[in-house]
Amino acid sequence: MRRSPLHVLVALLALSPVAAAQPQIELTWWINPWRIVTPDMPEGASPTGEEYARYMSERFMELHPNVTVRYELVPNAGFGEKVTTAIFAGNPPDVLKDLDWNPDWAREGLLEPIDTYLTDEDREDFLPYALAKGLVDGQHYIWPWNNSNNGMGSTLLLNTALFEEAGVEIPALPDRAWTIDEFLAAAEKLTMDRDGDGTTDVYAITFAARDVENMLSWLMRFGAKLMNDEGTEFVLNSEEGVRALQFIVDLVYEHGYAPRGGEALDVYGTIENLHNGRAAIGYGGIYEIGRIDRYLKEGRMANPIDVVIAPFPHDPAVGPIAYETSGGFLVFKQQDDYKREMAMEFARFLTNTENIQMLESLLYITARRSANAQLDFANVADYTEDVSTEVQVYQSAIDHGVPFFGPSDLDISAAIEHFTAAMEAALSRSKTPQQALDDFVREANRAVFGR
Amino acid sequence: MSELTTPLGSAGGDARPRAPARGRGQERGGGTRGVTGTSRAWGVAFVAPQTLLFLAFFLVPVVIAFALAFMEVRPTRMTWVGLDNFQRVLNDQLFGRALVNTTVFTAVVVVFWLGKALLVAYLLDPMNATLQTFFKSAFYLPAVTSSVIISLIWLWIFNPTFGLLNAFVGLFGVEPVAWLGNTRTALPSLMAMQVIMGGGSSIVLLSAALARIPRDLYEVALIDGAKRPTIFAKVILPLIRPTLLYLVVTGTINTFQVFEAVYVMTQGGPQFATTTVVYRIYQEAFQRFNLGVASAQAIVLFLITLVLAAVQFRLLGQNVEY
Repeated sequence: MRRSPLHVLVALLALSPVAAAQPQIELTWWINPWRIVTPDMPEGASPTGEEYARYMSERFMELHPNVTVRYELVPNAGFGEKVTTAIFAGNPPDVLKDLDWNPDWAREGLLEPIDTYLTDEDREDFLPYALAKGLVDGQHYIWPWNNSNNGMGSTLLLNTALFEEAGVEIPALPDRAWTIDEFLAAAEKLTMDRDGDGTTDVYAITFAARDVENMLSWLMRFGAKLMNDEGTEFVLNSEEGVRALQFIVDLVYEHGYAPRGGEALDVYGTIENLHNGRAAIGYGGIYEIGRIDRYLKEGRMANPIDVVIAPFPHDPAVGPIAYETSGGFLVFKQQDDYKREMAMEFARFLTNTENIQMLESLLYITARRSANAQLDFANVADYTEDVSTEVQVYQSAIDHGVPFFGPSDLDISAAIEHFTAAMEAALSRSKTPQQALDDFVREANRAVFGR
Repeated sequence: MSELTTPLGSAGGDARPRAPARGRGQERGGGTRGVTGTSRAWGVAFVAPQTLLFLAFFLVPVVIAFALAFMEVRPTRMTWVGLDNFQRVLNDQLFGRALVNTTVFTAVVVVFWLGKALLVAYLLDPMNATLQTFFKSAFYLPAVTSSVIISLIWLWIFNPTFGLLNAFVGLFGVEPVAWLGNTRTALPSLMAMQVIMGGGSSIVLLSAALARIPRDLYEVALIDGAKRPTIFAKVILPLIRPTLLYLVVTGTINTFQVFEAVYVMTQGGPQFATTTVVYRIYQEAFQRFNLGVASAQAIVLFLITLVLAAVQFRLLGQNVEY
């Protein structure tokens, strides 16, 4: 709708007393690219990642004319380094997407607790674990936004054409749950030498040592845990952990269901193998269906593939397990009371029931129950005429979510490189699964707990 | 006789004896006494921007890094901890591993890379100017390409599933190798990449150094019955020693700071087989936020390169006159 100069003048006059009563402030907001489709985008346009930040900043400034939101799109690569540098330089943003959340920031007094800004309705509405992610020493520091990640560690993608070619039935709805034995039977058929030249053309799945979330998800299949329940010790070298790692190694070397060389791969290696048809099963959730569409449009994929979602296979004695994770927004320490109020208001604005639903276009589930109840994911993009089945499968998978990385207020980043080293050692068979996990536990306990 | 005191001499092959160099003031006939206040001010004005940038982005950060090495640095406070950070560095097994990896990497890369540059420069020396320019440009091209781009390209070459290298060795019946995933091949793979892609600027410098050697010396050696290998070893190598010293010292210092290839291609893996000192410093500073420990590691690196440079100067640093 076009606004006449008279309308604008009247609006300015109406707002002027309010604006005069409130100081002009500037909020800085850092966020990594989220390819969310905004309401003001032309139909069919493909988002680049900046639209969401621009749109939300503009909408907030319309509501609060005395506030200028300066957003900065920070690439995923180097996000943590940039934030760290800004913190040490004493110049962090006012509001930050928690891509590299570090609970020590809260302990250092760098963040504003959000407890006094959370209403009773908020506490009821936010998913408990999403809210608990930002809990440090009894106070909350994260405004929850996205529930789950792109599905890594939670669900698998099954290439329907390859399943059909191999004569394997897709696991049955409603949740497509399958057991380890059923997975093994399927993997045997899915590993195909089409021309009989002795070389495998299609593998069932890919394992990548540097793909922490998915490897950890496999290691939990038989009941292993990364840490004990108290979060005071790494215990992945349990009998169950060693059994799971041996299972993975056997899939590569004994059965040949997964390609060798996984010790040199990261998660993008697994994505690539799925996309180019070298693996019948890949990793990820509904977001990853969107990646396939995007890669096709960008010419990064030659041929389209049709995929459906299924949970990781489970051991009946243990039950289904998925990776439980979420994300949100942090507010850094403010000296000025009014600026603190507005920074919190902005974070609340981003995560309120109406705006949080914008995650739907990314096929992400939100951290608010009230918003999730309104999402139908229908026609959010041209590749998802009806993804409701996949959403249902995905949601039922993450209903079995557990936190993989111990207590949210414990920084275990120093242990991750040792986990990767253990996976590299096992997948290259330079160590046995027992040796690899024993070494990991010893080094992780030393690095994180100093013992 | 001119004294070859810098490798950055004429690249035009001018081998004629030169008159002793004169200072700028002497050329203007007045010595330093001839510099007026105005010209002094202009000199300062020209030097000041570079000096300020040097201070702001190099000298001051280096001094601060020295100070930080003795402190525990947190975002909101700094605490003096004496030598604790250095003790942590010395007790860090991964830092020790990184030092070994870096030393091996540097020793191999500098030797092979310099050998390659010397060989290419020697082969280019008899060629005409046009051909020399073509080959020098070709070898110099990687030097003007982003090291990140080069690393990404080599990441594809080394890919265990669809990489060019495995496709090539597969022609000879060799099973696919996870070049960057195997502890035995990962570091050598990075070294090979560095040797193949590096050396462009060294070839240019060595070509210039070779061109400055008077042709009479070759002729005299030939008349005396010397063979080419002897001429190379007894005539050429001693005469280009200053250039070699420069390249060995700067090459060692630069190679000791290898980071981009590790960051892009292996992240220090597999099993820390490619973790290098600077990558470790990066991890400590930007992934663990231990700026104090990272500074201590940087000082250890500085001391090591200082000692290496001193040793190299002592071994190779002799004046050459011809």
